[in-house]
Amino acid sequence: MSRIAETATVSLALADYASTDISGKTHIIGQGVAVIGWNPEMGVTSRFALIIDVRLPIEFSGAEFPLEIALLDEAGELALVPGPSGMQPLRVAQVVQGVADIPRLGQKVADHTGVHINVIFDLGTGVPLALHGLYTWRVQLDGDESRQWLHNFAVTGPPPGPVFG
Amino acid sequence: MPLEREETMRNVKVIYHREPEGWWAESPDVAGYTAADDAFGELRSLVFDGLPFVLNVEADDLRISEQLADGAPIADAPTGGVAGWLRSIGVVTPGSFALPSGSVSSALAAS
Repeated sequence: MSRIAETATVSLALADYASTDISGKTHIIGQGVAVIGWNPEMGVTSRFALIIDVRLPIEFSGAEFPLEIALLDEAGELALVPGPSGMQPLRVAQVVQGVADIPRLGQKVADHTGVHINVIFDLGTGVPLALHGLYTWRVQLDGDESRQWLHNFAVTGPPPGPVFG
Repeated sequence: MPLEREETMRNVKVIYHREPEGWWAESPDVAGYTAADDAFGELRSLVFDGLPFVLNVEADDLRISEQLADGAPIADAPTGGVAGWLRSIGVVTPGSFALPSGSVSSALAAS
């Protein structure tokens, strides 16, 4: 339905930490995480980051479109997290715009490399998710629900201690 | 923001709908208002340019909150971006949602 969603190459990854520097490079530590730890004292996951890498053909340089991120539960429904107004879905969109630096790169190189949008979703203090929960990050581009990119992960904690008596 | 300015602000919600051939927008706060365009970015420009005109207010006196038709709020730089939105629902994210400058708009990078 959307040419942007139709032609996009999107990859998702989880890591312990990620950030983007001023030059646009992404710095990642511990990529490849599929199981997130859980802090029993705080009731939140350990810190983690979602890395979203979007590549588009050069024809979309300068195009603005919404990138939507949603957290799904095991049943594929929107996962709810506690907030000030009660339980609410962790779902948000942000308008992104990929711009190829054609004057610097030259048209031939820009045509070849295309448009690159790198989004880091760094949840530095964890998220109040359920222990032993199975979750999925879902990404949609340009409002097109017919194309979705998914990344599964789980939340685990320390095994329960022995029971005496 | 000074209190006087806050009192003069008008809050308007805009909902964006995706259709096979493009986008259209409506506002539950502005009866009869719709706008449409092939591209989301162009439609957004129409909304931000047109709503102050329709409501006969200065653009600076209008606070537009946006969401997609599926209910996802659009977090933008004035509200702190996604990090600000996460804080609003109780998730603290010190370095959240970093976007590379140079390949995305500066407004987003500011979030």
